[in-house]
Formats: sequence, structure tokens, C-alpha cells
Amino acid sequence: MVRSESWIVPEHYDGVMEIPLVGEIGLYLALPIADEIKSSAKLVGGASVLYFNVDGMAAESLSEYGLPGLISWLLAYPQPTVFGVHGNLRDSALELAMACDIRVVTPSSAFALSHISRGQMPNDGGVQMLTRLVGPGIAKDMLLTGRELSGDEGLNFGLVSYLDDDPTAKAKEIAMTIAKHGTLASKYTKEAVNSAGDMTFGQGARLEADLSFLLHGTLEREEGLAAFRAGRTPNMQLPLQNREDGPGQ
Amino acid sequence: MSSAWETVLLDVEDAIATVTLNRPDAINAYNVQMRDDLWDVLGAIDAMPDIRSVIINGTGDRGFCSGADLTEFGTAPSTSEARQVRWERDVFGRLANLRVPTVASLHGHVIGSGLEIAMLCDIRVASEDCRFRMPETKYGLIPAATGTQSLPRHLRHGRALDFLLSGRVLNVDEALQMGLVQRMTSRENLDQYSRDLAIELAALGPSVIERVRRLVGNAIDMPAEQARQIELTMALKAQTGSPS
Repeated sequence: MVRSESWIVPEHYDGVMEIPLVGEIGLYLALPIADEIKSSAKLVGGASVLYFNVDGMAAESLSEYGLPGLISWLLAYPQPTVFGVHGNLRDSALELAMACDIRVVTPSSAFALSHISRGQMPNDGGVQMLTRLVGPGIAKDMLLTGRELSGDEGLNFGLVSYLDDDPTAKAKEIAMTIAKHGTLASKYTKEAVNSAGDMTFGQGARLEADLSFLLHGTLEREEGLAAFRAGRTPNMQLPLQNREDGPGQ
Repeated sequence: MSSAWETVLLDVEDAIATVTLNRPDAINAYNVQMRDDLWDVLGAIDAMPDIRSVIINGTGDRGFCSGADLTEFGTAPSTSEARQVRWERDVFGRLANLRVPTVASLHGHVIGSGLEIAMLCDIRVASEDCRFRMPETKYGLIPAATGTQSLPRHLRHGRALDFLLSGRVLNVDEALQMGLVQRMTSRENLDQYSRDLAIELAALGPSVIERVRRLVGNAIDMPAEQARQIELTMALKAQTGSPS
């Protein structure tokens, strides 16, 4: 395992796995970092909300190589993923961020996929991810001209969800909020929303309903309803192994 | 104003039907009775050829709808029966496929199932006091009135994931900017604004709304060339006056 100041091992707390990406991350670090993220998530059974805590220098250096192999893994990761970054998102760094569910940036952040200027194209699924996020018009503008979006434009076009002067703190807050929600509920919501891009409305509605019925009898749904009736905040810190073992199953 | 239904009012005037969610003490929470009432009311509207457009709104000061009535959750006889009933009484499908154009006229709290109902209307008008929220995952639930499908289509993928997973509240400016609603007006002017819009839509022939709904849906659900061919065929039929 390669260690350096630029990389701090993931930290687990309150249902969140924080992934700090700090400083220069060259190709020699990118591969082991990707592997470490996967194995660290495996330790908790893939049940944690992922929170990427990225500084400007890391974002800049990730623009060249990203974290190899991580995007496919992130797209298949069952729980919500939040990406907070101080700085700009270009090329592979933007592709990595787009593979997460929620992106938080600073108002002065800029975004671009500039592969076209080198006669290349995004090589980690960036065309698909970008088009689903911002629609075909803006996607083609960015992909064909290398157009750079400002923070405001990124927000208005749906590329990012929040502009914040302290984006990593905001991203952490969101991750911790989501971690207080039902783990299965978040997982199934993510699955159903992701399916909306691949299925007809009718097919997606069927999937949504069936995922909803799968939650019947689960401990987290029972806790949510009991809390609602009692007028209190649900406590979803249920023992991990019991989450899917409700009375209905 | 008819009182044939316990939780829904139906008013028909000058070819415009107004369907009003009517449980003001519970901010019009959607319960089993409201499901059955809406099923009947929407069926009745489809059977009344004089009706040319529909407004859906909510009674009371606090909001359009506070979402599903969670106090009734867990009372279904069994999961398999609940699943069967979901599709036997597919209120949401009936609303989305109503014969005539629909306007959601929204004020105050627009939460969970209430927002999902609004998303199944053709155009959403929001008053400036609107607050939109999807709190399902907080309670160990997921949206079950097609919100996971309608929201990504209207907001796009990233914003829908954020809205649904974080449970954040959207105000009317954000909702308008993101495409959750199409029109904004003052609380005082909401009824009149929605009525004017419904009158405008009532001038359309029923086949127009059917065609536009289907083609817009195809644009998202189908391969582009297949959807385009259907559009061209429909346009040709419309020009030659043959039935679509």
C-alpha cells in the first residue's frame, strides 16, 4: 500500500465513509487509492454513505487520470455518494464527480470536459453521465467546444446540486443527513431513480412500486412509521445485520 | 359543489372541472379514502364529454397536500394484496392518462405523494408560498406514486437524486428554475391564474393533448428515430384529417 501526505485513509463514522483526497495525486497513487476505497467500503458491507472530501490540488491532479476503475464501481455502489470539492472539476476529475449522486462545489468553481481540444473524448463514460445530468444541448456544447461552465451555470444546468463557500463541510452535512435516513430506502430510491434513465415510465413505475413493497415489514420502515406516529425523529441506527430482517420477511 | 365524496370535491363549471383535495385538518393528506374518491372522481370526469380541462387543487390555508397519511401505513392485509390493489386502482395512471389536459394548482406544503400527484398533471402552477419536499427515505420509505420516475424526467438525473435522497426543501424559485413547476403567481391570484390556464387548455381538442402527451413521453422513453417516425406519422394524419 502506497501512503503519502496526499492521501488519508477513509474514515468511518455514523454511517458515513469519508474519503479525503488531498494534495497531488499522480497515477502512481491513483490506482492504490481506488483499491483502498473499494476495500474500505467492503469492510462495512457497502452500507455507508460515501463522502468525498476533495481539495483543489487533488481535483487538479485527478483531472488527468481520475481514480482508475473507480467510476464503474461508484455507478454500481448501492448507497448514496456525495462529492464535495474546493476547486475546479476538469476532465477525469469531472467524470469522477459525475459518477457520484450529489455534487457540492464553490461559487467560483469551473467545469469542463476539454478532451476535444486534444482530439480525444472522455474515456470513462463522461458523455453518458453528462448528457443525463444536463441534457443533450449543453452536453454537446461542452463536448464539442470544450466550453467551460461557471459555478452558477453548473447549478442552473443541473451539473452540480449546491454552491457553497465551504463545499466539503456542506457535502459532509448532506452525507450525514442521508445516513440518518433508512439505508434500504436510500438504496432503493437510488436504484429507482437510476432506472428512470433506462426504462419507460410504465416500467419504472412498476419497479418503484415493487421496491416499495419490498420495504414492507422491514425494521427501518417499522421504525419510521412508529416515529411518525409518536411525533419523534426516526432512529435509523439499526443493527446492520437486522436491517433486512423485518417481521415481513 | 358536490359532496358525493368524503375527501374530494368536484366542481364543474363552463367545461372546467375542479378537483379539490379536501382533508384540510390533515393538510389534505392522501389516505385510502382519498385514493378511492379520486379513482371515482377521475373516472367520472373521463365519462363526462363536456369537460375540456381539469384543475387539481387543495383546500385550506396550509397547503395542497402533506403527502401520504402515514397513520394508515402498515394496515394493509398483506404485501401481495397491497400490490394487487396498487394496480387494480391505479389512480396515478388514471390521472396521467386523463382524457383532458390537467393543471395542478399548488399552494403551501406540497409534500411526498402530493407532489407526485402534481407531477402527473400536464402543467404545474405554484403560488409563491409553496414548499416542496420528498421526505420518504427519512421514514424508511420510498416514493410510491411514480415520483422516482417523474422527478428525474422533469428535474434531470442529478437534481432528482439530490432532492429525493437528501430530503431538502425547495422553495418556489428553485422549483421554477429546476423545472419542477412551470408557472408562479401570488397566493391571492392562484385560483384565477389556474382557471385562466385551464380555460386556455380547454380550447384544445382532446386529441391534441393525447398526441402531445404521448409524443413528449416518447421523446424520453423511446429511441429517438423511432419516436420521430411516430411523430411524423401523427403529423401526417393530423394534416389529412384522419383519426390519430
